[in-house]
Amino acid sequence: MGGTRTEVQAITFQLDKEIYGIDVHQIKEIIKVREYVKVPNAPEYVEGVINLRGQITPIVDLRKIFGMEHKNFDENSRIIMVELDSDVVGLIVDSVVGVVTVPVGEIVRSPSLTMSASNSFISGIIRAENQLTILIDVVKLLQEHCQISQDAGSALKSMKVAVAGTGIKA
Amino acid sequence: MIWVTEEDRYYREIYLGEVRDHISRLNELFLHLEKSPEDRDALNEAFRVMHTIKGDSAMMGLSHIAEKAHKAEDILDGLRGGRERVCQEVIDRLLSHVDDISELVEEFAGRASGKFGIVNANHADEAPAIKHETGCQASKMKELEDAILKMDASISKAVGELEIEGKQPPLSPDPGSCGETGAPKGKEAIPKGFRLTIKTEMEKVLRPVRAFMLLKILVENGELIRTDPPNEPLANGEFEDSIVAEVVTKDLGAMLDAIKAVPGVIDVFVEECEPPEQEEKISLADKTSQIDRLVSCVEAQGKEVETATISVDSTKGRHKVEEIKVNIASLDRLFNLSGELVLAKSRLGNIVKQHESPEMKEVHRFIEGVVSDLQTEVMNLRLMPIGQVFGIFPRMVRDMSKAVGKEIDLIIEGGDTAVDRKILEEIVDPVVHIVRNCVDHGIETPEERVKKGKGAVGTIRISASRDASHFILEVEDDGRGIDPSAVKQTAIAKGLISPKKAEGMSDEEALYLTCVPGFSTKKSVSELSGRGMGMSAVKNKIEAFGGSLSISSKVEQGTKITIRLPASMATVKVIVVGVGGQVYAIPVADVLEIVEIRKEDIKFIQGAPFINLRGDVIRLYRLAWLLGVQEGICNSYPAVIIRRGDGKNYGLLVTEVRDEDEVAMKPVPRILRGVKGFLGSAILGDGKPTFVIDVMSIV
Repeated sequence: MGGTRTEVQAITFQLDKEIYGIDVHQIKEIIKVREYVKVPNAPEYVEGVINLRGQITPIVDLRKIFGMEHKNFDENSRIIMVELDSDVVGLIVDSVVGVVTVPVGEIVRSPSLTMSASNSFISGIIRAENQLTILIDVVKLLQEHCQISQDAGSALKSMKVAVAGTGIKA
Repeated sequence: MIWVTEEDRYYREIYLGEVRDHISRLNELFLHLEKSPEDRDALNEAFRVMHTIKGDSAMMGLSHIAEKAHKAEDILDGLRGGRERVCQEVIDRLLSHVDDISELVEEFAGRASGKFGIVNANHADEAPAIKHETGCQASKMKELEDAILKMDASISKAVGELEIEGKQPPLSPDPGSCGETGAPKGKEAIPKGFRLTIKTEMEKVLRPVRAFMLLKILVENGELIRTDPPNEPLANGEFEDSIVAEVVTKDLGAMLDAIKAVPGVIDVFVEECEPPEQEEKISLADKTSQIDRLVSCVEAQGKEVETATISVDSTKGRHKVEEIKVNIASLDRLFNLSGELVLAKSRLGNIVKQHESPEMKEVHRFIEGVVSDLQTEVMNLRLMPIGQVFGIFPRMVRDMSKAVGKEIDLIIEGGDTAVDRKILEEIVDPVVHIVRNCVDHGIETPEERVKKGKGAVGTIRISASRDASHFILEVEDDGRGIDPSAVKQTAIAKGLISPKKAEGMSDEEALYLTCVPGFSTKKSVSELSGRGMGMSAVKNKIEAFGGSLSISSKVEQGTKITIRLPASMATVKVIVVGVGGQVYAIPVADVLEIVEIRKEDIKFIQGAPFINLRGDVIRLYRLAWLLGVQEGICNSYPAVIIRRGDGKNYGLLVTEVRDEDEVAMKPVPRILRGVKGFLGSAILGDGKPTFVIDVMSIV
């Protein structure tokens, strides 16, 4: 991998009536909805936490983030585990549809969709199997909609920035 | 690409470690020379160090770094020969060379480790550490090893007993299953054949993609003999949870790293290892075999540590053979493993309770003791003197104060205070910001200071200390201080508080308005602090680690900011309580006692519930209300009486008190950092996640 990519592979999933896609590189794994522990006083969109092989992993209801009405989880519901720096966050979706591979050139980046500040997590639209799929950047989405600070990088990184920042420019 | 083999990576690590040390030494030396330009020894040492960087870099084929070092060496040579004099301007030039070299070195480090396309953010090797090696006492390692041996013996004994009891035979210890340790660390580059069993847990739709990634890695890093299932069905995703691949490779380590970086790959077993059952069944044999595996991993780690190189620390001239250098990643694994061991031990305890076997209980008690000793030793190994982080401040303060035209003396105290490495990493950002604030907002310009009758040179004091359970860090300046009324005015002007509220606010409370998001007392966004993380972020970060921040300030005299953090990240003993159908953990250290309280014993004073406990009047809170969860009404409640340092003990009413447990406390996941009242998260003996309640902040 590495270098400039000519194609994007995305996992597609259904949420309400729409199909969305997430770049496979942002996805760690997909699991079925399992029993979770609720978190008191947590933001509304955080459904709870689960124990994912020893790591306490928050799961987030994507419907709530997108302001859609609530739907009970069923046997089609899945949790898409995405990596966010050192944390893993699970996104609950109605169902997983499949995998699509699209040439980068075929991704439509419509300014009217992606320019608005509240929609900047939409990285493009693709047409796969005669259906429009909205590609989303989950890292951006979570950072912007869930008040996750961006200082996640290890302290050393910022320490270096701090030292470098005091150098010649200052 | 240059960096392919294990051997190359080995040298790269050595080079990076040394050159980073050299760079920080040069920073120190140049700052020293700025103050005492006549110090020939320092000058000579700087020349030697620079020369070493040049030589090492050239040897590594990094000619661009060697060239930079050569230029700096020329300047130093001129100074030695008296052709040039040490002055501010020369020091600036030298420091900027050091910055350039540092930047090039880090760029090289980044490029080299980014070689394998699939970069995993969790990858231990790539996570920059404060320093790549840490010293630890050889005697400690010995104790650790003894503890492991003892435990091993007792576990074998326990397993033997269980077999007698007629339970299913435990799985044999499986050294290959603990990831890293399975890989032979051979440095010779002779191609060898391996049978890899790659254990995966993947959603069906992802399988073709992941299989493709895996095949690519197998082909690129060696010769792929065959796979089971065969290539084609494999590429179509037709496989179950594990894939077997026979390969011939020179560099198994690199191949394994790359494989493990593929999402969904849980583990890779090398050679003839059968995949172990990974079911979450809490069977006794399962647990013991899990412990067995952990023990063998811990043991392997211990050995690795033991065989590490003996450092000859020529610069300090003390702790010579008493210290050995240990790889941080290995230390972290050791820490995680010992944490898991503690968890497995708690779970084993749950099972032992169900079996009425005095012998088993005895063995369990013994394991408990040994595991706790092991934990303590591992925790001590992670301690590092905070001076390693403080080292960046002299240079930072110098550069910043020059940029804003101020003169500042920096005093650092308590640099040898030992703190857990993780805490050290977390504390850097906040302290950098606080120091920036001191330079930018606190200390006045020399003219201003003289007008006020102060000395022209300001002082910033950073000091570290420890008490029994906390690490305390203070940053103090003798600048203009924070004016509470100005803070209030700003907060009102920005709409953060109402004028009425401001009126009722004490001066001390007003200081904390600076930590409210969106607050900044300076009129213009200055070049320095304007880019900082902001006091609100500083406070959040410290609180996320279970710490606290306090501010005290006197107008025209200065400001002092005190940070308190828990001293170690070890496991904590907790009391597990049930509230509204869920469980929460309360640290045992905070609990005075547990009493059953009947409804009729509760007195109300001005509407607030109290209880008279042997003459002490104690305020009661219902934990369910504090957490905002539903709870039924009963005639009596167990109350956990909380001990508070300030004497204001209080009682928490819960639905039930379940048990005592020992948990490895982890930070609250980032998405939940805004949630108040939790110290951290933890996984209980039964595998369920829970939250550890912060008794100080919840009421």
